[in-house]
Amino acid sequence: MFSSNALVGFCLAYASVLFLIAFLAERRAARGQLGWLRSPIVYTLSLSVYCTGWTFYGAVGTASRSGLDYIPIYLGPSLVFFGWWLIIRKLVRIGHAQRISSIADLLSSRYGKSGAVGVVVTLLAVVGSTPYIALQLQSLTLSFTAFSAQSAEVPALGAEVTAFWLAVGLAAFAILFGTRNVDANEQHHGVVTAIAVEAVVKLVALLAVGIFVVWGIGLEGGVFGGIEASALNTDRIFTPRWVTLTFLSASAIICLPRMFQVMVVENADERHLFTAAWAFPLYLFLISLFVLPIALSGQQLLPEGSNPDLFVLSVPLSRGQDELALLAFLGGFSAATSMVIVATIALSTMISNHIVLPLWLSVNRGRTEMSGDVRNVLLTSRRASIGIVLALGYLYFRITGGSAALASIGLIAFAGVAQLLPSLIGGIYWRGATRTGALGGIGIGFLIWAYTLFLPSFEGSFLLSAGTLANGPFGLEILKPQALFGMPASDPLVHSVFWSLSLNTAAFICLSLLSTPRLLERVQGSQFVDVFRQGSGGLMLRRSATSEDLFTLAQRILGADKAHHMFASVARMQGLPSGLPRPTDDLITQLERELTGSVGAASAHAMVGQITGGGQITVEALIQMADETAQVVEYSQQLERQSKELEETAQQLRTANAQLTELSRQKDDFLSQVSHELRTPMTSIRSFSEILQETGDISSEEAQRFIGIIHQESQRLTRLLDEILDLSFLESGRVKWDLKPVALHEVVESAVASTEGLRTTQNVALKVEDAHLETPVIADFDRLAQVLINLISNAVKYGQTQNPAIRLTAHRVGPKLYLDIADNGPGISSENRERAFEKFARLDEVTLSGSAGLGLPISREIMRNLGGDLALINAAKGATFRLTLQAA
Amino acid sequence: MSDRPDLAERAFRESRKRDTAFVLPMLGLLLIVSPIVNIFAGITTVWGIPASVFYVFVVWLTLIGLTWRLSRRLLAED
Repeated sequence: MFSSNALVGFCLAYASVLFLIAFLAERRAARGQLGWLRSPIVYTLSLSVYCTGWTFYGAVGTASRSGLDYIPIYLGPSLVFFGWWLIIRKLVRIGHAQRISSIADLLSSRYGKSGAVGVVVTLLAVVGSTPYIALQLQSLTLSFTAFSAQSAEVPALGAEVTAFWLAVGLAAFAILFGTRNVDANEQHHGVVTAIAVEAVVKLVALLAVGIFVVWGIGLEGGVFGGIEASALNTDRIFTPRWVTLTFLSASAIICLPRMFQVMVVENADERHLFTAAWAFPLYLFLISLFVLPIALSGQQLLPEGSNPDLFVLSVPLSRGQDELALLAFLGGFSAATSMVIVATIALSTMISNHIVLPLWLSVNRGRTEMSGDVRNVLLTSRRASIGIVLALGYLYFRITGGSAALASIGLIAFAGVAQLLPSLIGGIYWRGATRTGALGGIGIGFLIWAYTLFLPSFEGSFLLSAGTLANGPFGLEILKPQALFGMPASDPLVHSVFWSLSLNTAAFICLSLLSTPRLLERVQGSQFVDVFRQGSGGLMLRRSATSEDLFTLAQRILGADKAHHMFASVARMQGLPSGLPRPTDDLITQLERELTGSVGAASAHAMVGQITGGGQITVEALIQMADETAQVVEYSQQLERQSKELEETAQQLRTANAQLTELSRQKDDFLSQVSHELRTPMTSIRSFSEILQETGDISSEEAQRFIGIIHQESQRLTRLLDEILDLSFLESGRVKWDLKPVALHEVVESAVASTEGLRTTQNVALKVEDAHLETPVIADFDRLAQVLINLISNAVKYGQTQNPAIRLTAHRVGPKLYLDIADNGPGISSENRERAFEKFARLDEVTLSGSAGLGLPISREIMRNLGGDLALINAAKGATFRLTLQAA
Repeated sequence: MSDRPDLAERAFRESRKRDTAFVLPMLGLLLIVSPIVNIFAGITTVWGIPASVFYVFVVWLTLIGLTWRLSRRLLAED
């Protein structure tokens, strides 16, 4: 048999071992050797912080008093984990994306980084957790007294004193464990590891007691032999209470601050959920497996009136199994301490981030730059908060007198935190949920819960008098706390949960629909609801600050090393070799996110806001962020535009290529034409000179004729070469033009005179009309004359008919002067019009000797160089060439 | 590679598995948080264990097994 002092010794030794484990784990983590510290098994075991002293002792009590009612407490969380894909995965993803540090932070961040939401949730969590802390004190106190009662030793201390020292011890333990430093991401590897070890201890302890009860005692008729007499003997299991218990425990696993802490905040890797999804329900399954056998055997073995909440201890003690009882005691101690440690860490984080820090900020407004390290404020306030939370728990224990059954106290806490459920679920699935709706819903739910469940639990000794409880306030029966509106109050828990949660949800939805969310709420709303659809990006507020201010702020919250590390890495990313990074929007946003991990979204937003002077969300930024699809659409439009441009360029290239091919073909044609044209006179010159050379007896008359031909042909050749040279000279653009005002009639007279011989031989009449011919034009006299001679010669050559005649007429339109040379010959068919200006084009093969076909191209080239043009125009009969000239 | 189902088929199977993740908690609700449990109320026993207790624990363990299978599949895809 162990004395009380021995028990205290065991507890201290056990706590020291845990502390050592936590210390070693933290040191490993600090060295970066995370390894198994971040394994899914450790994560799953840390979730077992759900199973508290209430679970350990109270479940057996519940099973003994009301049969299967203990099962929903474990089934609810199991169901949530079976459906982990629905809610938990999303919470964990949001927790990582937004650096969430507590459930108050999650709701505050979701509803526009609202300070008010943070305060309300924190207050609710503290008040809701108070009965829970008291519960742990009570179960620990009970377990101490169970040993004392057995050992016939006069209890050295009363229950209140035991509970007081327990509270002090737990506070010291939690402060040492949880607030050794302010971590940038609020993960406590040491605590989580210690919790995992405790999880194993409590499971082993409960299984050991269960195995001993079932197989070690050998009860007559088996463990379930006494079933007829027990509370299990009922024909209705599915009752409103059954549903309520399942629902409450399912919402508790999400909303309890300590569960949120281990499940979301301490989660190292989202993939751990794949294991926890089945392993945590398995843990709960094993924990509850032997609850009923222990309860039934206790009923059979122990005298009437024994406290069923203590069967886990008293059954082994009654059989003289002291070591087993000690193991069970340590299991209960583990369950209670792990709950208190995690709960106080979670609550103290919430209190310091959402109540103390905003107050401190408003007091120190304007001189934040000078004042000291904010981390000291955080640490001090967290340590103080742990003390306050435990003090409240102890007060609750004292006021309620530690009389109520463990389970009913636990359920009060469950119903309290369940008030967060509508705003939480609405917040992550419903974009339209607003801050007003959340505040209204949580507020109303909280008040009804307090009025119908929390305050009545004091049984008239706190705020609500016994009279009010019995008859309603001021004798108003309709407002009786445990029978609102005259609802039959068979079960106060079902009654309270029904009213508080239904009105909470109704207020949340209605107020959300009636209110207009601010821009930041909408931004956060879409970030939460669409967390799986977004990349790492997020909203970039337009803000400005100096790098020095930002660095000072970072140093004060993150600590010098971490701040230095962060700023140095940002500077490297910006490509700066040394010094502080540029204060870009990127840097400010990243800093706010880092700070959020330490002090919560609302405080981080406010602190950064103080430095940057606010920072308003612009509608443009909102649209840019909220509508990523728009960006995708814009991007694809850009691509489309680019490809269209490419298509156009390709088309232009194809056209240019076609033109080049055509030009190349024309050049080849030209060359072959030139060689052909040169060959003809060369051939005849050569053949006639050969005849002259080789034939001896040739008459001089004959020879004279041959020499005449050779002379003619060589003249033709010379003319041809002159023309080719002329054309290439013109086309090369190296000609010096002697442009000046020229009297048109002089040029015409000169050309007419030059062609007189030709016309006379061909018997062609020429008529020059005098109108406008005196007009001076801008031209090179000789070149213009050359064009006219060429055109008149052509008209003589091609315009052959019965009475050939050529007409020259001029008329003036504005600054332009047109000179038409018309013949009355066969004319040029329309398909040959354009070919007429091609080189070597001999239309319809009617050509006279002496023409190489280069006259028209040369003439057109000259006219264009004179600033005019040469074209064939439609005429009723014959061919009409029109010269366009610039009047001087 | 040749008998591997095409992309659409694989996406469909994946979403089917994810839908199954929604089905499990619903199944649990239907089997345990419904009047079905009342069928097993009373003092009937299975191997000396009350039928209601036996039923609840068997359903529970089965759901754990199904979740384990599903998690492994989802993890393999992830």
